[in-house]
Amino acid sequence: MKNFHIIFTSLVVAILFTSALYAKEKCQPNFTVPPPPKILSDVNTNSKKKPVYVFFDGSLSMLGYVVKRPPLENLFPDIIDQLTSAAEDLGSETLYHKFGKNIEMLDERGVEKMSEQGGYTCPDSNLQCEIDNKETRLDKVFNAITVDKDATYIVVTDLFMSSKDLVKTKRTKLQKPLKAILRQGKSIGILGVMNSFNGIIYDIPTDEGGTRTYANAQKRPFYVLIIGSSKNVNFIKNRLKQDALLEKQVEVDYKFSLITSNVISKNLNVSEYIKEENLINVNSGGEAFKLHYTDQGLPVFRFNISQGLKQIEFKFKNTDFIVPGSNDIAEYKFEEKFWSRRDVECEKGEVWKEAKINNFSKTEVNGTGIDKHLHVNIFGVKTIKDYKLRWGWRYFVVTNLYTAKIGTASVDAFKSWSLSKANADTFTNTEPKIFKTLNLLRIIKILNLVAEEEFKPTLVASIGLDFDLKK
Amino acid sequence: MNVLNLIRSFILCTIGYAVFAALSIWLILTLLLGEINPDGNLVRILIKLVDEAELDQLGYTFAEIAVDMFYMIAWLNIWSLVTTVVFALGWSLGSHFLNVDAPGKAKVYAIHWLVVSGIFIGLLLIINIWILNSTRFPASQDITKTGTFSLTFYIMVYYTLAYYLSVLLGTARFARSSVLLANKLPALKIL
Repeated sequence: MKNFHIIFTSLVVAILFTSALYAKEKCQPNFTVPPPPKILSDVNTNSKKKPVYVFFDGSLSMLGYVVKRPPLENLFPDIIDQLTSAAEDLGSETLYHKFGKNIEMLDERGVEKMSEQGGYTCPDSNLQCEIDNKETRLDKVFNAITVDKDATYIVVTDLFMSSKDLVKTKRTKLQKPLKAILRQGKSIGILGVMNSFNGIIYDIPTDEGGTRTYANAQKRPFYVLIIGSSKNVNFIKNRLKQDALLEKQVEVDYKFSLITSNVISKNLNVSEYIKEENLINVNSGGEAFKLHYTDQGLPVFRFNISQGLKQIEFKFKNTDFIVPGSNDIAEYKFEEKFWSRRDVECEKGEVWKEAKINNFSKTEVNGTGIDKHLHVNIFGVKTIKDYKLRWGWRYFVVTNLYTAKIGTASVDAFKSWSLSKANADTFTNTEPKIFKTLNLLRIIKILNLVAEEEFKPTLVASIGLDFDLKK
Repeated sequence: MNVLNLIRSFILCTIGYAVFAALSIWLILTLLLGEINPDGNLVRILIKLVDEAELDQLGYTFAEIAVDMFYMIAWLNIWSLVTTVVFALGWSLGSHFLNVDAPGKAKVYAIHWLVVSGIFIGLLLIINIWILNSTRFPASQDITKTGTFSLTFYIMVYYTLAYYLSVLLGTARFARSSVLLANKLPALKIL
């Protein structure tokens, strides 16, 4: 009987002690964390090879890129070579086409000819060819690229489009397939390369309403449009950059932009990417500091701060979660929840009280290029003191950071190469050596608009904060 | 030195603060031990000191922080009362030991009394400031700035009155004119 009492008492003590410990350990309010967006994980994990389709603009205005103009270096043939090589490496199979008014398939000889003059001129008395190479029907190419959803498409063109091609039904014809592409989570990469030019530029609009030609341009940009998953787009871009652009003796003037409806390459919670060093204004060496990931993949930072701290600040490198070269993010938004309790040790059976304070965090972007950083300032809309948070209390914050508005980095990147219809005649009269691309900004803006329309807020990161506020 | 005079001063001084102290002790005991009516006047007065909207934003109501508030107000009164009693008795008894042998004695006594009273008021103020800002009393952060000012003001007035009445009655007869500010206060007629 005596033994029974000892065992019973020990059991009761053990149960009470364990449950007290468990309560302390699990001292968190009830919350759910949204799962990382599926489309990101698909893009990151799908590594199976898919076909690649290459389209060469075969219009006569492209001829100037293959005719040499010494002493200027002609990059075009080399880029075509490297492009075909990269396309072959990327795809399960590579299918080549040439387009003008119509699209025709190319065999090996036909592909080779696209870096020669013969690819752009017509044999004598071939009327069909002459009709065909006087137009650039990009809309037909865009329409074709919706056929195989898994493929990657590459279009080599001068992107010289008249204003009439960018209004009404022709604009819709351009936009519709692009929307379908972006809706699938694909991206459009635009690589522009300033190249030597020795030919005639057609269809330059005049102030009187007609068109004119210009033959004195020595340089003119051409473009490689790469359409596919952002991973594949970057693969082609990087190959061209490494093998055809950076290896040159002379400095090559090129620009790149990635237009996509989803510029987020990675949800920061995936692979437990958020680390102690991301929390920049709280001492991670502090006694109470601890970081752990919950079963839902939420990083919870436990620490003590004083009321004098204005905000809790996280810093993330933009290149770690934004698709390189993309339009970037213009605005972010938060979905936040915030609880408090007076019993900081979770020993008195008090419950977490959900606060009614909303929209208390803000973002700031600092730096440029690869040094661009996103600062997430929890309670940064005002300050901790302004929110009248009580010292001596414990607080729990779950903040979900979403993208809210896509940026316009691509417009800025290509601004200097664009020529508007209104300025085309005057510009041509100045006898420019470097000729700009007609309506380039309008084309990029159309692409951006499509990306914006297809844009859906994406969860970038979810962060949990569990802190005691000291006076 | 007449011991009887000292005892007389002690009794008179105690009578002086007794009424105030009784009220204070009742309040302290109610706050610390008693069951307070949530719809009663005491709660109604204390709610006025707090910004309920602020608490509501944090998900709390006054009822949830009331115990801390009662505890703080009780301790504010305990310290104020103790200080008042110590200073009132201190002056009342100490005034018998004053022996300033100079012309215009009332003025000289007045200087002593003013210094002691100044220290008392200063100490009372420090007690208020300390308690209403101390980390020992979490409820101090629930009181608004206006609430803090009002609370300090009423506590100061209440306990200064208690002190004044007790020293008015308890001060040694030869030094009383100093408390009456050189015979200029109307209370002279009733003493």
